[in-house]
Amino acid sequence: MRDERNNAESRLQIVSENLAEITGQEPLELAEGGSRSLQDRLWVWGIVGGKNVGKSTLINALAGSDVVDRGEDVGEGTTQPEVYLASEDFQSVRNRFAELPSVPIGYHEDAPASMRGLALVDLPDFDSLFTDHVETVRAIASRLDGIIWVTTPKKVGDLRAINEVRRVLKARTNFAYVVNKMDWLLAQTSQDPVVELRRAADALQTQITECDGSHAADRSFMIAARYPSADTMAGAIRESRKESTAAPDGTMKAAVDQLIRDFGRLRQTLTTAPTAEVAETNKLANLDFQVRAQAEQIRGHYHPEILAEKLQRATDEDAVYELIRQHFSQDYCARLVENLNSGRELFAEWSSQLFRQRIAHWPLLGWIAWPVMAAGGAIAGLRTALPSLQRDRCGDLFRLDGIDLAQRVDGLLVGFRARLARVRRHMNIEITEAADLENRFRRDVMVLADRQRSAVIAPYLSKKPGIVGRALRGILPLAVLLWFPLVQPVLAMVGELSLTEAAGGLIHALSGSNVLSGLAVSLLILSGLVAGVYSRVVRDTAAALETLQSIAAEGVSESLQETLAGTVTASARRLLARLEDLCQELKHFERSSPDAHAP
Amino acid sequence: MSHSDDQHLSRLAGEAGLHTLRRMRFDWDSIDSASCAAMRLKRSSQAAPDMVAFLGGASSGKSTLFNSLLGREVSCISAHAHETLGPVIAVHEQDAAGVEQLLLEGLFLPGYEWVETKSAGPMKGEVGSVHVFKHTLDAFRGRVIFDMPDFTSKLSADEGAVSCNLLPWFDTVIVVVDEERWFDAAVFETMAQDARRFGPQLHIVFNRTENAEPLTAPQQDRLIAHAATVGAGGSCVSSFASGCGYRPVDTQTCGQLHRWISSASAQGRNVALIKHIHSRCARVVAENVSRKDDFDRLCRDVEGHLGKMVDDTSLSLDLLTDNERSYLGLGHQLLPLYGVLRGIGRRVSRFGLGLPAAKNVDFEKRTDDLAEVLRQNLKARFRHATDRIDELVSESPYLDATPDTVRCNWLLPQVDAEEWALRIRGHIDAWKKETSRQARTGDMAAMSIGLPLLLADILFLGGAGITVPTAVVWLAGFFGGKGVSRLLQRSPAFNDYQATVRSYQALIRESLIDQWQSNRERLPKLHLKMNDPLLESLMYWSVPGRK
Repeated sequence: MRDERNNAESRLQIVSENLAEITGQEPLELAEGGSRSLQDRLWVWGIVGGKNVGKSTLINALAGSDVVDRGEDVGEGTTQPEVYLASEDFQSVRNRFAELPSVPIGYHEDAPASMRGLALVDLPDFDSLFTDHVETVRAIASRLDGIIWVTTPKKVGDLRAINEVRRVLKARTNFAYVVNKMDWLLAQTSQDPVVELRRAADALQTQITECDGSHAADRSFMIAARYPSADTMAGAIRESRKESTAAPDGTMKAAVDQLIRDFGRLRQTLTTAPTAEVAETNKLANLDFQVRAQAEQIRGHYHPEILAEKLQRATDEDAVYELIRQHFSQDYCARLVENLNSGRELFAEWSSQLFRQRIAHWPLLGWIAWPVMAAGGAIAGLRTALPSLQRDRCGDLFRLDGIDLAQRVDGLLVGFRARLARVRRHMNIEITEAADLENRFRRDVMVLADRQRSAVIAPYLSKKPGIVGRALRGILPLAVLLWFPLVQPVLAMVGELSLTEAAGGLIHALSGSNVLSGLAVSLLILSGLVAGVYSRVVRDTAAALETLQSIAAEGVSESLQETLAGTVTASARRLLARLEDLCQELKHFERSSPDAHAP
Repeated sequence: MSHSDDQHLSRLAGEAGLHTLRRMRFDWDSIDSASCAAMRLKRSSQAAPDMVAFLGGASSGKSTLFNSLLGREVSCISAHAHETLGPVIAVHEQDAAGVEQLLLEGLFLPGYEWVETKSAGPMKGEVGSVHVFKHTLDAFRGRVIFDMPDFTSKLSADEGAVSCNLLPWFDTVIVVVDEERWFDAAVFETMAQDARRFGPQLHIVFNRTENAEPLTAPQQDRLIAHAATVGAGGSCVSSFASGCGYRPVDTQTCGQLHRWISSASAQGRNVALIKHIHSRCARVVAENVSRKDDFDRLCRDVEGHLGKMVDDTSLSLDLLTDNERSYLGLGHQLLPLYGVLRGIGRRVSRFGLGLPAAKNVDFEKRTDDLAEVLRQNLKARFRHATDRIDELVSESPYLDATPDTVRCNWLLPQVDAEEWALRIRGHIDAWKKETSRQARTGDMAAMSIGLPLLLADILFLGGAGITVPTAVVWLAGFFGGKGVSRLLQRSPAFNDYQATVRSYQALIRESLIDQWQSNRERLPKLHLKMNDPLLESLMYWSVPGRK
C-alpha cells in the first residue's frame, strides 16, 4: 500500500509526460515531494497566511517566548521559513526539507521535549509584492503535513487567499483555519460582541467552504495571539474602545473568554504530536489527496477523454468503412479482381501449363509436340519483347471509373484527414503515406487475384490418370510407333510366306519404303493423339476460365476494404489505445485513493 | 466636441456595439465599454462633475474616510470585511439634479439605478444601483465623491467587480491601504496598474489603526517612496483613532483629502482615456483585419481548388473501359492491319491457339454499365472535392477562435446518370462509325500498296524476298494508323464527346460552387464587414492623435 503510494507520484509524472507528448501540449508542472513525508515519523505544521496577519506572533505565542523575530513594521517581514522544533528532531526535519532549491531555512531547536515528533514552520506571506515569498511558500508546501491557514477579520474571504489555498494539495482534514487579531474586531464594534463573533465565524465558514467545500467548525479558530490571557486582552480592548460606547462587561468577557478558549484549543492541536498511527493515516490521506488532485489536474490540463472521444469518433469503424466504400466501392473491387483474372493471356498461360503437364504423362508425345510448344514459347517471348503488342496492364487496370488509383487513395486519405482535422489540431497523428497505401492495395489485389486463379486451376493441374489410364498412356504411343513401321508389315507377310522365306521376307517387309511410310502413319496418329490431348486441355482451360468468371467476388471486396481500413487507421488507433490506457491509469488514481480520514 | 466623435463614441459605448463585439469574441470587456461611456460624458457635457473615488482592500477604511469628509455616518461602517456592496455617492444638493439627468441620459454610469435613501441611517449600497447622499458642503460643489466596495474579497469579485468596472469614470482615485496590505500585491500591482491605464490622479492613504505609536521618519519615507513607485500623486499616513463605531479621522488627513479633492481635474484622465480607447480599438481593428484576411485566404484557397478539383482529370477517355478503347482503335498503333489480324485471331482462337481476338463490345449492354460508372464517378469526384474543402476549412486559422466543430453541408448533385450515359453512348457510336470508316480507308491504303508488292514478290522474286514487301506493308500500316489516330482526335464525334464530358464536369463544378457559397454564408461570423458602422467607429478611434 505504502509502496504503491510512493510510486504514484512518479507514475503520475510519467502519465503527464506521455500525455504531453501525445497532445503536443506543454507538460504540466506537478508539485513533488509529497511522498517524502512518509519517510519519517514527524508531523510538520506549516503556518501560512497573508502579510502582517500575525503568523510569527502566533508561533511566538505558542512557544511562550520570542523564538522568531517579528521583523520591522514597515517592510518585508518574515522572508525565510523558520522551523520551531525540539532539538532531538533536528536531523529528521533537515532531511524532510533537504534538496529544496534556494530556500534557506532557519531552525530554532528550543521547543520543549513534549513537542518531540512535531515541528512548526513559520512561512513568509503569499500576498505581497515580494514575489519570492510566494515562491518559497509554494515550494515548501508539498513537504508539510498540516497547514495552519492564518488570516484576520480584514482579510477573511480574500480572493487571492482562497485561490492560494486551492493550490495546496493536502487532505482537507489536515487544514486548520485561524482568524487572528480578533481583539481588533471586538475593539471596533459597537454591537453585541458575542453576536459579532458569530458573524465573524460565519465569514470564516464562508471562506472555508469556498476553499475546500467543507464545513469544519472543529478546525476553525478565532484568536488574538498577542494576548495570552483574558485579562490583558480585555484591558487592551477596553483601552482602545476608550469605554465610550462599551458593551456590557458580561458579554465582552464572554467574547474574550471564547477567544482564549479557541487559542487553548489551537495550542492543544499544534503542540501535541499525533500518535504514530494517526500521523501515518493523515500523511497517507495527504498523499492520496495530492495524487487524486494531480490526476484531476492532469485530466483538466490535457482533457484526454475528450481527445480520446474525438479520436474515437474520427476513427469510428462505420464511418471509416463508409469513407472507404465511397472510394473503393464493392463493385469496383470486384470488377478489379475480375478484370485482373479475365485477361486473354490467362488462356495461353493456363493452356500451356496444363498441356505441358498432361503431355508429360505420355511417353514420346512430348517429342512430337515439341515444335508446337516451341512455337508457343516463341510467340509468348515475342509478345513480351514487343512493347506495342503488350497491353499496359497496371497503368489502366485500376482505373475503372475514370479515376486513377492514386487519386482514389488520395481521396480516401483526404477524407480521413478531414475527419481527423479537429483532433489533429492538437495532436500529432501520422497517417500512412499515399504511395505506401497505393502499393499495398496493388499488392493485395494482385495477391487476391493470384490466390483466386490458383484456386481455380489447381484441381485441373492435380488431376492424375488412373491405373488403366496410366497403362494405356504407357503402352499406346510405343505400340503405335512400333506397329506401323515394324509389326504391321511383318504381320502382313506372315500369311503369305513360309518360315523358310521368312528371313528374306522380313528383310523385304522391313524395307526402307515400308518402314518410312509406316513411320509416317505412326507419326500422324501420334499427332492426332497430341491434338486430342490439346483439345482436352483447351476444354479444361475454358471450363476453368468459366469457373473463374462465375466465382462471386463478394469476399474479395470485403477483405480489400478491411486491409484498407486497417492501414489507414492504424496509427490513430494505436494512439487511441495509448490514450485510453492513460485515461484508465488516471481514473485508477482518482478512484483508488480512499477518502481522507478524520484525524 | 464634434458631432461625429459623439456618434462614434455612442456606437462604441452602446449596448448593440458591445453585444456585437462580445459575440465576435473580440477581447472587449465591460471595462472598455465603461471607458467609452466615460469619454462620452466628458465630451458631451461641459458641466460634467469631477469624480473622486475611495478604493481599497476589504476593511481598509474607505467608508470611514468618506464619512469623515462628510462629517456624519453616511456609508455603513463595520468591523467585518465587504460591508459596502455598491457605489455610494455624495453630491451637492444643487448638483444632484444635473447628475441625475446625466445618468438618465445614459451618459453617467449607464445601466445603474439612481436611489435616494429617505431614511437617515447609514447606507450599504447595492449591486446595480447608485445610492445618493445629498450634502450642502460648498467645498465639494462640482464633485461627485464615491465610496466603493472593496476589490480584494471573493464576494465582491462574484458580485461583478464593481470597483474595477467603474475605474474609467474616476478623475481622482484615493486608494486606502490598511496596515495589513501596505505591500499587498492585489492593491499595488493590479489596482494601481489598472487605474493608471485610465489616468486618474492617484493618491494613497496608508492607514494605521493597530499601533498607536507614530512611525519613525525613515519608515514614513519608505512608505512615501513605495507610493511613488506606483505613480501616486500624493500619499499620507493616517492614524485612525481607536474606538468603536464611527469616528472621524485626524484633521491632518482630512485636510490632505480636501486638498486632493479640490485639486481634482479631468485633464490627465481625458488624455489617458483617449489613449486607452485608441489602443483597445486599434487592437480590435487589427484583429478584425487579420481575421478578415484569414477568411479571404480561406475563400481564395477553396475557390482556387474548386476550379482545379474537377478539371484535374484529363478530358479524354476517362469514362471508357480498356476494351472499348482498344475497340475504338486507340489501344494500338497498327490500325490498318488490326482488322486482318483480328479476323485471323478470332478464327485461330476457336482452336485454342494463342492470340485470342479482342472481345466485341456490346454497347447496348454497356449503357447500363456506363450509367453505373458515371454514378460512381460522380460520387467519388464529389466526395473527393468536398473532403478537400472540409479539410481546408477546418485547418484555416480563421476558425481557430471557435471552440466547436464547423461542418459544411454537402448534397450530392442530382444527375440523371442514364440520360448522360445515353448521350455519351451516342457519341461513342458515332465515333465508332467514324473509326471503322477511317480504319477501312487505312486498310485499303495499306492493301493497295502491299498487295501489288506481294504479288510482284511472288511472281518475280519467287517468294524469296517475302520479308521485304511485308515490312513495307507493316510500315505503311504503322504510319497510316498513326495518321488515322491523329485524325480521329480531330473528328467531330470526338469533339462532341469531349464537349459532353466537359459539360458533365461543369455540372459537378457548378453544384460545388453553389453549395460552397451557401456553406460560406453558414460559417460562423468572426469578423466585421469592412463597411460595418461599428468597425468604422473602431477605426475612427484606432487612429492615434485624434482629438
